[in-house]
Amino acid sequence: MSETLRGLYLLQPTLFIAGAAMLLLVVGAFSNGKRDLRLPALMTLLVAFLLQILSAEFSTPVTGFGGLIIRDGLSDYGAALLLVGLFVSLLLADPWFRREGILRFEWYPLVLLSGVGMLLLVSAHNFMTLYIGLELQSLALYVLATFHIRDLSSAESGVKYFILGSLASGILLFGISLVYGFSGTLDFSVLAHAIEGQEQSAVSGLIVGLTLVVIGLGFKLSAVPFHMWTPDVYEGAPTPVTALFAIVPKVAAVIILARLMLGEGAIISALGVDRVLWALSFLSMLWGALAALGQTQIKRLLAYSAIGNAGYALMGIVAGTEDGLAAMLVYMTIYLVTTAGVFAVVLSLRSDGQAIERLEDLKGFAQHHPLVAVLLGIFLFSLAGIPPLAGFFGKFYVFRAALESGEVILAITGALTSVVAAFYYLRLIRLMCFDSGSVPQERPIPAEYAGIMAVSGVLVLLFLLAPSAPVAFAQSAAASLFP
Amino acid sequence: MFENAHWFFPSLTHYLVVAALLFTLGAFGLFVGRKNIIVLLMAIELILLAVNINLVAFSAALEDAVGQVLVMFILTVAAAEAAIGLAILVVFFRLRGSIEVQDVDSLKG
Amino acid sequence: MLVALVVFLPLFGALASGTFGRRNRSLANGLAVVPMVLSAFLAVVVWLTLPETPIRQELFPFIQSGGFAVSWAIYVDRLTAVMFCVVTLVSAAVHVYAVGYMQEDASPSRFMAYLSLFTFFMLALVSADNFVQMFFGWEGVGLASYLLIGFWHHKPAANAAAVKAFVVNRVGDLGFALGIAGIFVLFGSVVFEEILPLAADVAEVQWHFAGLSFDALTVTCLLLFIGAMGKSAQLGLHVWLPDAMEGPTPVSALIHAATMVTAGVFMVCRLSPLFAEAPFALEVIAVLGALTAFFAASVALVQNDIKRIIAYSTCSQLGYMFFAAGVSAYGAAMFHLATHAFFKALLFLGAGSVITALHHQQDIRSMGGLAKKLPWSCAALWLGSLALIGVGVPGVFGLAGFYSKDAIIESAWAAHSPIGSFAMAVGLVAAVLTAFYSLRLLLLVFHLPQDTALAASVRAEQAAAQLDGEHSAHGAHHHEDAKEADASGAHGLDSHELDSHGSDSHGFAGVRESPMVMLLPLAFLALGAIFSGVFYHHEFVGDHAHEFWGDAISLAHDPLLEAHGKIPFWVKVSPLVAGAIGIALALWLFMRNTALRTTLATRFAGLHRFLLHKWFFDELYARLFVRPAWRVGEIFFHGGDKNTIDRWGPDGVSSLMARSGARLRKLQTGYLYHYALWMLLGLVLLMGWILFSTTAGAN
Repeated sequence: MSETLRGLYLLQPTLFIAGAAMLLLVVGAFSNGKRDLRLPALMTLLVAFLLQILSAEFSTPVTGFGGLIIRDGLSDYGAALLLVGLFVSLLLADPWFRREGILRFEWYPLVLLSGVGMLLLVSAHNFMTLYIGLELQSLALYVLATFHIRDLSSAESGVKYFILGSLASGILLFGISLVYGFSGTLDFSVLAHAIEGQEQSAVSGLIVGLTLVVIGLGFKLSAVPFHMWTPDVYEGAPTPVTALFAIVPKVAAVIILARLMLGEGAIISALGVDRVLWALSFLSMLWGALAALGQTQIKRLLAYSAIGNAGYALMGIVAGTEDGLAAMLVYMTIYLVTTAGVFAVVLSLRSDGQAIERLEDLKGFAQHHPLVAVLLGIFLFSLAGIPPLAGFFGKFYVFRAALESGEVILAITGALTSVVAAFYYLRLIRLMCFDSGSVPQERPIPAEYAGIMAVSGVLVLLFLLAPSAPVAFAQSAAASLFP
Repeated sequence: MFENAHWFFPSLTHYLVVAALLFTLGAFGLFVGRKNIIVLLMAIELILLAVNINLVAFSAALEDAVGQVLVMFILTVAAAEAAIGLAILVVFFRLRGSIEVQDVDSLKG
Repeated sequence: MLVALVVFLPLFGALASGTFGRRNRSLANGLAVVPMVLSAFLAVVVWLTLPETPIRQELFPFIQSGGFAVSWAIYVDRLTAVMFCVVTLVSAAVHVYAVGYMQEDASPSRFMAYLSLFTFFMLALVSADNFVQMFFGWEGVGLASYLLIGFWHHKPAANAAAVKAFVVNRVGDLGFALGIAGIFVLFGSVVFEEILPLAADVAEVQWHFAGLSFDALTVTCLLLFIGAMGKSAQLGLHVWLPDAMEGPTPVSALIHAATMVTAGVFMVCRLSPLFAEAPFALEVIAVLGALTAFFAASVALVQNDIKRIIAYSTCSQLGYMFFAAGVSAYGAAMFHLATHAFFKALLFLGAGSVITALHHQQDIRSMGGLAKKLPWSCAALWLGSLALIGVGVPGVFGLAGFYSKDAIIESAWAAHSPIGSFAMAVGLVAAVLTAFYSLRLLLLVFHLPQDTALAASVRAEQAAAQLDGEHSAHGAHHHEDAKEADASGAHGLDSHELDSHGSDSHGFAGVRESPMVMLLPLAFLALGAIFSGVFYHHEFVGDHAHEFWGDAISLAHDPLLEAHGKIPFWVKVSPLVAGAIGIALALWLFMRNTALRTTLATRFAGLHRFLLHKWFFDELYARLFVRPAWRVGEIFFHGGDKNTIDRWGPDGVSSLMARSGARLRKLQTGYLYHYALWMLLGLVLLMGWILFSTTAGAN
């Protein structure tokens, strides 16, 4: 009984959001969608954030529900990041949806429910929890991709995401079933101990199963070659949904991957499954950089940027050390902040009452919105990893961790692809600053966007002044996997 | 590990082979059947089915109930998934007037 | 808390003014001025309540990497407190003044924000407790200076000057950065409190390079001094300072007279225990400082741009400060720094007041007889000049410069070394020149009648230069650069372009005195110029120096303190006499015997040209560095970069990338079954690879 109580206590932020989401659903349905649910949704996330912080267990990991879930530094760090990301996504979405006139009340419960899934995912300590968290997240996201039900692209992106996502879930589940069969358990720590002293055939089965699991998670992370959905879904989905896709779910995916690969003495990595991650990281960096070169759509470009960034984040896990994990967490944090800024700019781009989606519409942007153009430039430079912006430090930490654990090829690939990435971001900046534009952009920028741009801009610019504080946080979170 | 599984017939291996075949069938269905998106949904159901067979078989072999609990979850989720999939498909059909797989092609490059 | 407020209030002002002041002029002004005045007030409080032991307030850790640990911290001892007062007081005066000066400018919030930002960086520099933070402030003030020099970015000359300042400062900063590296190698730390007490321990360390051995501390100190030379415009790296006068006048007053340019002097004083152990470096500093004092004063004799004259005067006074530091008289250097800040800011702001009254006319040849029209500006310039010359009655009362310049000359004498005597002699000559050019400026601007024919020809020249400037702005860039290097003393008059009213038509009829908001800061600075010397000379260089400075600067070898009371009378009055000679010469040449001026100018035409062209430094650099670098650059650019590297490197690679990118795009067909196939293919390949590699590894 006390085990259950403890589980409930540990999961309180997640449960709170789940309850609130269902309440919002009911309220929305009974008010025929007339009631504005924005403030309650934001408050929900705020309260959940406070609950998460107040019940944070940084010192020692605590499990609940008989080991189904865990709360440790890593899960708390991830949850905090996710909640911030969800909060920002909600803020970003509202003005855009209202201008397009497609805001419906389901948006809020759906985002919150996907958040429940992600929160469950970061504190999963059992394949069952992992699966349920992943599906809860994915089901909500499938619907969100189709959110604009009068728009063919949105519907098409939903179909594609759904079919491919289901395939990925199937692969993941098949992997879980094999892991279960060959180890007899679904619990992460029991699994880690079960592996020791196994005979060769069972280990091979485990390797197959774990590889499938990693591939299933790699899909969510949009790692190459399981990334094919990403550009299409990013382009087709309504832009705020794209922002959500870019900002939040990846955090959950990399954290559960890290827990799986590095938790319990990294025994699972030791099986050689980390080579899968190595390949995913390598290919993602390469593909993300190269395929971005010929893009003409802003959102597609950002999709490839996301693919490349997944590669950099995976590099931190491949490094396999505490430093690597901390570097990955810092990288994801910086990525979240920067991406939020980029999307705030992208969402505020409009001309003639239309949202701007093509790169060439950005021509001469710097003349009409110098300040916003400068901010966008800062964000893009940061994504490209140009010093002294935050993105540089993110990449630097990851490269350093990779080099220290001997992953020279990955680090070099990362550095080279950063150069290529810098090229296309620079091209974008040239477009904004030096080409003359035809259509002037609309002037007033909603306060939400201005605020997020400003905060992201300041964080990205000033990271170099106090890099040790966020790094210390990430290190204490990473330490929970390396007791 | 499965030494004492020999007494029941069909053996664990048989179940596993069936499950693997179903999985492969489902996976192939996704890219070989180029007709209709409904077929793709069925292919996905096949994959889930394969997983369930696997899990139940292992669960029985290990004499451990956890696998079957997971199967219950999977069945539940699969139902939700099918509902959502069909809903998305309806939205798509209303806009495109078709559910041919070839017609899901406006986003590319 | 208090000290943190002093430092961060200007930053707050900069951000607030830059963000919220964009639409509203008075809001922009208010948001910058109020925090600045508050900061100045708090700085005075800090000064008055300064405890015996230095205040050290750690804000947060900055870099932790191996054995290298640096924090953001505010360190306030007497030295910092002096700089706090000087910087914030002058800055506050300049902020208020700028409200009036920039009244008609289109972007006051940008200007105010830059000005406050500069102040923040300067305060961060002087309150640094380690080299890294000092470097942060150092680069920050450089950045702010760059932004402010080029503030009127539609003027080609302003842009060129901004770039020049930036580039020349990079040369100095390279030295500074190498010096910091040297410090870290020597001491294993960059925190002042840890380094300075250990200076004597490393005095013997030698570095071996290319078969020679060098005294490590001397090399490090010289490198640091190169940094100081760049920032403080010492001979060799001074070329940016006169050009920097393209910026708005408040900028010249704050950055290029009172504060930023003194950062080098401050740095040498902050590190005085270090320099005390490197006597050779000190000698170099003394000689270079003395030469700068003489060089700049001589150039100022014949310049015609009112701001440039004052700029060269600044350069010259900085030279005084350096040779004071060079003879170990750090107290005297700091004293002169503080007094100079007040009277030089006063001079600049007074000049600015004249310039605004004349609609941005800066050429003194086209001025004259303005004393009646601009009585307050005239008084300000007179007072500033007299303070600069160092007028006073020994033992009774003197203006600020009287005490500080005296202290420097006396220190040089008391050093009893060849270098000291040399510095003293040069300093006295420079003092004569100082008095002469100051008087020349005052007489030509205010008292002699305007020479209408000359004024007309000057205006015609300016119009031509402006046309030329516009022409070259459209031309290729390197033409402009070459022209910039070739341009004679008359260039930089493009500021004329700003004159929206057209100065061709005015004969001073509509000239009116500046508004109150500009005159009040003048009055405030005038108080400083009058009283800062008499009130504080006992503390800075006199009997109370030991308890005043504490451990903030090295007083161990201060010649003035060592020779206390034994300074001969002739040494004491020599600066005064030098000043008197200069004044008399100027009065004679300009009031009595005006014909002789022309005779002299034609007789010594070569010398005149030499001075007018600023000893041909710009031309020399153009010949030595700029053009050869340009030519080498051309060769490498066409031969090396374009035809070799670009062709095989970036261009080749980028076209390869673009092609592979296009190919990868084709894979993204949009068809679901292709995507599914890709995923499964990926799965199979990965699985095969993993199984193969793990089983291969196991066998």
